Amino acid sequence: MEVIQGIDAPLPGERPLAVVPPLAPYVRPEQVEADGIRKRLNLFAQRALTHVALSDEQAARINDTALLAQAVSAGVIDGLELAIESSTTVTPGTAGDGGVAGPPITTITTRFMLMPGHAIAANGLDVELAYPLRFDPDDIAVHGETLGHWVPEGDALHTRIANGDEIRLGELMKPDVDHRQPLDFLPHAMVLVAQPVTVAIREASEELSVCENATDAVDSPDIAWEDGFRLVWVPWPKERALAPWTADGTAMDTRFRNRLAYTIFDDERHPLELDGIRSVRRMTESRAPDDPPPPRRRGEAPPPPLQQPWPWEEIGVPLALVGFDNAFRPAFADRAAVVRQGGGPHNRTRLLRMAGDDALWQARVAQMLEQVAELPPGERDAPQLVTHFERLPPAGVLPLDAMDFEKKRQSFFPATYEVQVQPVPLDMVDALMAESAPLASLNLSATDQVQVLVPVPSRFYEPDLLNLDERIHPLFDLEISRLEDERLRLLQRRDALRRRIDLLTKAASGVLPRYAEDDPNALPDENGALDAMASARVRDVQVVAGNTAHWHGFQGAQAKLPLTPGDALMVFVRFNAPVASLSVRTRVMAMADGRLTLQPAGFYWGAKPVEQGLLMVNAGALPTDDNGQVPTNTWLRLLAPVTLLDRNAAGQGIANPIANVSIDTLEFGVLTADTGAGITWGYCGTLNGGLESYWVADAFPPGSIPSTNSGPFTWSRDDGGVTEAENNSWGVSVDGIKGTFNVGELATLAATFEGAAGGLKREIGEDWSRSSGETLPAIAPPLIEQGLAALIVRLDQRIAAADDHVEVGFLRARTDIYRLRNGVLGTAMAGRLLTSPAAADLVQQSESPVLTDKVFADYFDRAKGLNVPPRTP
Amino acid sequence: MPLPDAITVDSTSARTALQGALDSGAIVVDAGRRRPFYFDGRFLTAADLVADQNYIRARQSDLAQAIGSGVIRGLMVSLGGNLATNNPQLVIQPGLGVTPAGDLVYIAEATPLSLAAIPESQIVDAQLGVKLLANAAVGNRTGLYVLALRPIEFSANPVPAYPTTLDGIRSVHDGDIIEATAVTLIPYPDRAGTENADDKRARVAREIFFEGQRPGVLQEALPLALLFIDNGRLVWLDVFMVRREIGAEPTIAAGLSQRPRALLEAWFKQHIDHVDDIDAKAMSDGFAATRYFDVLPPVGLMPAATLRFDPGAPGGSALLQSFFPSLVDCEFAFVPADEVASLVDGALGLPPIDLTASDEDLDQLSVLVLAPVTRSRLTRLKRELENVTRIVRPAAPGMLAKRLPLDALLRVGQRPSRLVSPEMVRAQALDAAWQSALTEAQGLVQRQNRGCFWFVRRRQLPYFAEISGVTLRLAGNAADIDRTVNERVTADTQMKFVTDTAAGFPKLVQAETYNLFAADRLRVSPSFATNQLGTSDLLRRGAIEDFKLAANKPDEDKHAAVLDIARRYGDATLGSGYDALRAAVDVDVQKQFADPNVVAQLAVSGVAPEIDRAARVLSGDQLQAFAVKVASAAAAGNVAALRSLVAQPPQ
Repeated sequence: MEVIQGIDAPLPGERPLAVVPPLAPYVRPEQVEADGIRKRLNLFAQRALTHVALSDEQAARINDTALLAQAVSAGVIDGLELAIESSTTVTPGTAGDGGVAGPPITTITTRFMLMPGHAIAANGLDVELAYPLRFDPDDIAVHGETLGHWVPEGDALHTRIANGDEIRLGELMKPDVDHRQPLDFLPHAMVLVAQPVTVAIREASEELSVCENATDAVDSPDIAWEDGFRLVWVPWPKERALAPWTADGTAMDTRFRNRLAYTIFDDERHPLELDGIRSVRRMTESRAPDDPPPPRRRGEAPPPPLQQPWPWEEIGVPLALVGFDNAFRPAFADRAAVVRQGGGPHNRTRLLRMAGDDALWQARVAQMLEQVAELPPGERDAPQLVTHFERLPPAGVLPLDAMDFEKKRQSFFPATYEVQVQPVPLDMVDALMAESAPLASLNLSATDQVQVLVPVPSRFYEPDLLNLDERIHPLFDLEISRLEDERLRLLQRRDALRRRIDLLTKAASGVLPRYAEDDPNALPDENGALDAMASARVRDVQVVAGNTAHWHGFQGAQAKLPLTPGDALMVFVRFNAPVASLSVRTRVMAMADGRLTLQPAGFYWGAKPVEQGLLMVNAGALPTDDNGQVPTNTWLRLLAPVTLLDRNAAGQGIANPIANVSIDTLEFGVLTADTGAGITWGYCGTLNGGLESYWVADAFPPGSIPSTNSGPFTWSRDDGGVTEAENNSWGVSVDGIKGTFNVGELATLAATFEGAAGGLKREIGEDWSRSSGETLPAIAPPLIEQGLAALIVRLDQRIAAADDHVEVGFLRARTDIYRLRNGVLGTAMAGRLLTSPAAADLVQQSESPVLTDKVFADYFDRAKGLNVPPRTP
Repeated sequence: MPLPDAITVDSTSARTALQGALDSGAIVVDAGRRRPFYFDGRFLTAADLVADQNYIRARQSDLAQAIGSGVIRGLMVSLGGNLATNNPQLVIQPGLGVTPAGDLVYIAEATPLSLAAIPESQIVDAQLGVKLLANAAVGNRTGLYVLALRPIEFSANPVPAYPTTLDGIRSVHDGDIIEATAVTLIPYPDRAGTENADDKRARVAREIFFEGQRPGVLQEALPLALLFIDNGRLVWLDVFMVRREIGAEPTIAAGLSQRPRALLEAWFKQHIDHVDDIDAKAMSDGFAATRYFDVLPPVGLMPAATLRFDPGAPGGSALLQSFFPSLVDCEFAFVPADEVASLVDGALGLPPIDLTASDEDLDQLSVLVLAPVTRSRLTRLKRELENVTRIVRPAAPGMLAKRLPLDALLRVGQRPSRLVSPEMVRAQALDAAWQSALTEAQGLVQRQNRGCFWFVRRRQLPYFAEISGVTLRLAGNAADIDRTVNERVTADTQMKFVTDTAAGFPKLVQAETYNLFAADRLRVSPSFATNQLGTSDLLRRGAIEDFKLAANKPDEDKHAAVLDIARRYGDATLGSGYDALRAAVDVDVQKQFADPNVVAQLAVSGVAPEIDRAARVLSGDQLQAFAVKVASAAAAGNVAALRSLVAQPPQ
């Protein structure tokens, strides 16, 4: 023996007390095995390397790795979830005497599914499963030593256990396999454990064991140790109290699972290590060498029993606690009862006895979650839960349907519990759970207090969130009402401004602006145009009862409405009593009776109106409210796709398909029902691809001739609280334009130049100020159609043309004057008087007046072609 | 393509390139980690295999350093033998640890060490190369010593070494290297002069925990315990003074904390052990903290006897404490016992309590004294005391210092009141309740916590993970309780007595009675109808019998009596004792437990829950014997024998 590493630099006064294992020249192999002595090969030249030596070296390295791995907490690192799969097969009964078939035989097959994952055992050895594993629980061996305690004395099983035979679970059933019955002594709770093992297939063959001098010709035997794990059933230890699994011997007690779990949890709170006595005082008080501690005084609580490790903790990694029913089929697999989070630094010695540690606290929470999740939703209320749970963790997660906040009721805890509920920001839940997790578990048989936390995202958190019947202060209603009024006023103002923009834009550019139908900033309760109608200028009609038809409208509008196939005609209407139908009618060129004539065409909603021409198309029923009634006294928006007119209701063809036509006529019709009604017509326009534009708004389009079949229609303002002053201050007042209009200066111009050749008549239209009559203008006045901008362009063109005439005339006159001067005064003098040197040059170059004239004309054309930017003032 | 993680040099240019990288510092090589490069045809020497071995060992050692130094598991040092015979024995429990240098130290089984047998270790000294100093006489050594583990290696198990030449001589060499652990005693540098053992312990605790000194810490040794030996006699053993355990450190820290979590936990455990070492008389009389401690951890134990209730104290009845210096602000509170663990855990991060600090510092110190009680008792105390917290004033010495000048002036002009007003009567009743609650709590901790309350340093800036939301009380289905009780009345006629009698009780007592008898633990078992009584039937009958006693009490005592039954039958694991008793015996005795007459005897004994509790701590043969005793006593109708079976029959 030689000390290879001693205490090379001892501290002054340092004294070694002992060496473990003691210094000795021989350390026997069995001693190494039994005492876990660490050793390695002493390698030196000339030593023989036997397989024993190499195996020892291998074992030593594995052992060192396992020791170091004990710094990591033991348990399942990830995965390894266990699921029970049951399937039932019914086979017809076999024919008995007389050919009568016996009762069908029901066979229940139970298999387990173990998911991939890895784990580390308490001794530092780890296990890994790379794929889902399906197995039959009957094929798994039962841990002999633990089983031996349950087997009655004298049973033959003892011999097999002593021999180390593998006893599978299926073997412990009585022989009548179809009606399997477990042997009486078997405990109905077992733990499935993954025991780390290492396997080598060693075949006793001379060929494989003989060394063939390592020549290439002979394959060396491929024998190797392979690490893995073995699944083992570890029965509940006999010396630990086992809750009764049944009350009547057949049905499993529903509380069995919870009781088993809490037996393990309670036990785990006990201190694990044999601490011994560290207090000199206590030792001095003991009476004799190696005496037990002094007896307890009367009333003194016994010291908490020291925890003996559960057998499965010493064997390997426990995967699930499985309960077995009367036929010894797995009834449940409780993972959280025995599985602890592995990996990461392990916990230090507990600060207080009986407190437990975070792995236990987490397991308690997980156990409840697991068991509640496995219950059908109908069994998650208090009366049912009491039959499954005796104890609950101090903190956990509840099913959502356990609480009814509106009724202020809960159905999870017994009525003897005082349950308070509070909202809590979501991100605080973990901290609160961590604070409560170490507390004592809840006992459902006793009275207790529980606080239920309702996690909500921080942005929704309000301390009063759950106070659902809170009365809202009237100020809120008042303020909301005020804000709604304000919003309405703004919407109305926006609408009024839009109508003025419509007018100005149409007048300036000849195009009606389009607005998005849906305001992207609109609030859910905002009705946009419907709200805005409240202040619009509208037309009122009174119609008497009794199937009376009334229509009014206009014809010959000079500002026409172009229709395209994607358009839908849109009209707003309101009535104070139910009506039979509503219609909107225009006139299009259509084939009727073999002739192409202007025909009434349009849409109706509700009953078919009378005398409405041949192209009236039904656009649907009148809109109804939630109760199926046609709403009265509220604005409705009626829509009809113009493509409906392509159909010819009477079998007649339409000469001009509706595509790209412009209409100048619109009539609004109504057919009353049994009662008379007041109808108010609002804006009318088109809707296309979510964009809307209004043709008829505060007034009929320019140039229109109003018409009605009976009774008057009156323009009025649907006063939405907008004052006249406000109305005027918003911009151009449209009140002055009523059917006819006065264009001021243009009218004067028209009157002055109406008869001039090529004059303005063409531009601004005939019969400009006409206020009645059916005659359509022969040429549609482009002023109204194209707007002022186009008029300005056209006038500019005319002025430029006139300028050209003047310029050419002037040039010609100048040439003639030059030539005359040339003849009278000579070239030099004539050139001096000529204002344009270019002209002089041209004249001089050209010998004949005709040629000069042509040259000048070309020059003028070239000069005109030059794009000279106008001089800015 | 990623850069290769294994570089092989197989050409001159590659060698030049590698040399360049090494010279410039672009590649760094650790010469300590060197392993052989294997290839077919290589001549394998012992040096190659040793290099392989050393490489693995170096990697493991580095990995162990990364885990941290300290005890991985076990290695607890405790006392054995008998100190009275001056033959103290230290026992090191099996376990595993890592030295700061990264070496594993491992003890496979409990190792007793005799301090008196140090002469025997001289052989070890010589073998390990430790030179004895002349003054280190064994019998009369005095001082502080660190018990530590050092990794040792020695060779053993000789094997033949074969000669490599024909005429070589066959020799023998040790074939194995044994990796052992030496237990050594290292003197702790003690710079103090004369002081007694308690002062020494307090001072060392201050040095290590408060001042953060690390005297005597060795790179190659793992300290397990600190001993104080006086002339060869062990005076005290303090494990947690030097023992540190490997474990998770909180990863979130501002870096302002002066002490790592492992040190704080060790300090707390050291404090608990220190209190455990204080003699019983001092504990029962109470003492000032400064007598045994220089500094205290932010949470710890204090003798309950240092707290007393004085109804006649100047300024009105008061709780007085004599443990902390008089300038310290104290408050007292009853807390549920299961909350102590999280309170301790949360308070460890607070600054320690320096008992020798200046008056200004002590004046800023605020401490909460906690008396652990069960939850049911706390509910009762809340009702009786109106408030379960109370300011604690220092006992007389510091009174003047803490009294505000204005208070003093007011007291001068105050005349003693002679009239007995209703408020005074109420205050007197409250004082009496406090007095009895405190005495009761002191009695309780005497049995369970070695006569100690807990103290916790209070935060200057209070924060709680408490929600500020408004609580809403949710109702359960109260009809369930009535329905359950009615079902039980139908099934068990004896229950009728309960409902009939309770009808005449005060309403609150009536509600508590229904609460008690609706508990699931007292349910009617499925076999009850066939006269086979289950555990829950036994407990229900027991509760009914106890209820009969409560019913005979005057009205004002009925509430307390019913609550007392609820407490005794509210134990979380109640019933598991009887289940264990039944499981431990054969079928005949099991039948006895299900026999209504036997159950009736157990019920009238008044100790049904206590028998259950007693059975829970037994196992194996003890349990079986106990079960037989219980069954036979009950079958014989011997109630007195049943009562004698449990240590503490109820009053």
